[in-house]
Amino acid sequence: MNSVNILYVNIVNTRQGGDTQSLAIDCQNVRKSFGDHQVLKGIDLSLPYGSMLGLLGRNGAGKSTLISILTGLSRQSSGRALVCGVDVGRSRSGELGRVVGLAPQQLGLYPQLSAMENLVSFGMLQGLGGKRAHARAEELLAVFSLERQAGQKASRLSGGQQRRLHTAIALVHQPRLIFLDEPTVGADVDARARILEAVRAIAAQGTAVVYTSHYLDEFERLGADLAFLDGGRIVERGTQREVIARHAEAVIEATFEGGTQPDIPGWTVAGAHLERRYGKSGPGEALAQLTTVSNRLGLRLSDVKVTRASLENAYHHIINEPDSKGMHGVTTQANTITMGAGPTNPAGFEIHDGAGAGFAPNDDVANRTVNDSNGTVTTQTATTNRIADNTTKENN
Amino acid sequence: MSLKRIGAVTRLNLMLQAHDPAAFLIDTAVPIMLTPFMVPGMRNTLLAEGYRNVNGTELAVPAFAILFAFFTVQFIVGMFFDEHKWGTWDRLRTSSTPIGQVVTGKIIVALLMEVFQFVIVVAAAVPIDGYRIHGDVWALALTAAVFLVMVTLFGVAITLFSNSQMTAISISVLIGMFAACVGGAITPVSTFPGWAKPVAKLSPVYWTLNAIERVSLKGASVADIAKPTGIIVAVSVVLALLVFIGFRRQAKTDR
Repeated sequence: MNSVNILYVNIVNTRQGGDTQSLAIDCQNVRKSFGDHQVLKGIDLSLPYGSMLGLLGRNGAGKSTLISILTGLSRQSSGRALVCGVDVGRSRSGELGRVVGLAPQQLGLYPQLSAMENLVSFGMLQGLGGKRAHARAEELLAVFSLERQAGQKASRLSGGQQRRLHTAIALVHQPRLIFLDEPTVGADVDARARILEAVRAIAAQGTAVVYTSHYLDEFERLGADLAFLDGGRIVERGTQREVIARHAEAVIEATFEGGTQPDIPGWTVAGAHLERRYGKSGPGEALAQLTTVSNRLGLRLSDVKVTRASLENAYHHIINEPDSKGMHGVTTQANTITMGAGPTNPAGFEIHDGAGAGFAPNDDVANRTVNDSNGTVTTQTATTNRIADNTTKENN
Repeated sequence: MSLKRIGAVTRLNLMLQAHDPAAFLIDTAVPIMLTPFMVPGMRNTLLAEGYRNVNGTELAVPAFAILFAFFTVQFIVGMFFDEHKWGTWDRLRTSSTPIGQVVTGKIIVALLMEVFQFVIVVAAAVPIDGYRIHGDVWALALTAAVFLVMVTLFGVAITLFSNSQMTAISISVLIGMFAACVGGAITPVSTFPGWAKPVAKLSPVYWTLNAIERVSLKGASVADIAKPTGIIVAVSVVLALLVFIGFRRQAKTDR
């Protein structure tokens, strides 16, 4: 019996003719451990300039740890991370700060200084001269609608105003890449809207944006691409449309009085109710079917719930319901491990442990070329890694 | 090393201190208020030691200025720990100003605060206590400068090796008060019991007051105070090394 130690296949997409200079972020197998606790278990992430990436995941998934590595606050345990061309693991203090801006989750303001003084001070710390720092501070106060609060101490600003000022400070030196870690926490509706508007404007000017939030509607409003972090890995990546198409389910749940569960074609029993998935045609046909059956059998519906395919239910499916091995789309059959479509493997990839397509046992590298519908030629390199707990999948 | 960046840090920290000066001003006012109570006793001690034409301010004024310089260390501690409280420390670390230059800018402000307090306390003693500077002014200025650099480095070192602001302040007060008292800032060393006099030499305050006494009361010049000021400089070098080690340790912990 041949065993193939394939637990997690990294597929690195290398665009022909592309280079790291066009990428704001280029992470390869970034790992981070705190003692025995491994927080990041091999992050591969690339982000071009001018694009926006929403980073989602549960608390403790590793989002803030990843951001702290990419901003130079922390060092990765292994792996390589280039941020705006700078190797973060080897960067000197202050080197990343020239091109990266960070608005951390915790507010960072000098409470006794005014909004203007905060902006000017941080501007000068970023190397701007006094006049330039003042001019830039005025620009940002206008962008974030804080002109009237310019002379107010930061401690006297409202929560929403503080959040806006906090975000503005990260932009004072016009960074090429900005990290916004839950920038709307504690912000009122108006402040949220202004922050999101400013983020869209920043991205439109060519700055790459990495944005984290627990408010899914913000990603919808920003139109950001998404990366889902779970258990220290990126478990899904794509545009919102792709993610919803792959993971979101449109479902109708119907509950009949008395707990009756009639046998209706196309409907399945799910606990105390029946449910049916519906597609692009919408829920109308399924609802009509329910009504017909109810009338024919003399049953009464006590509850009907229609859940549309949305980012929220895609999120729950991705984060809360991985496959039984904790990985996505991996199944095993005799002599074959098939990787289903996933974040690093959009077209699927079959790995055989014998001769044929893919690679042979103990080979840990395979290449193939994929042509997509736009005519882009992509060379994919598959590598094998053991996952942290060293569980091995074996062929039968 | 960018002077522009250090200047930006210095400017910021001066603004922060200027926005809330009450505690610092009180810390400066207290020695001015207490020195008059110390002057008569110090005069009697100096007369008993054989000095003539003295009024006691020759040692009382610098001694109290030295004692309260150690109280100013709490503001140095606050300059660092407050950044964590305000959430601005990570902003500083992710800025394009290297963290070493951030620390340098803060040290400059800390030293300026120490110098400001010392100068004000001494200057106020002129009209209030009748203090007159006898001897080589440059020798006195050198002694004061060397001492104040040492206290500043002491404050920064304590901060970098402490896990909390409260711990840092407590330790700095404990060590500072011990050094000041044992060194003769409260009562002259000549009044100590026999067994305590050698112990006084372990304190850099002893050597600071020793240099001041030599200049103010014995007409010593800069060259004559090479030994006591050299000892204070040696202590400063050790503290500077601790600051460097503490800074590197802090950088590793932060990562």
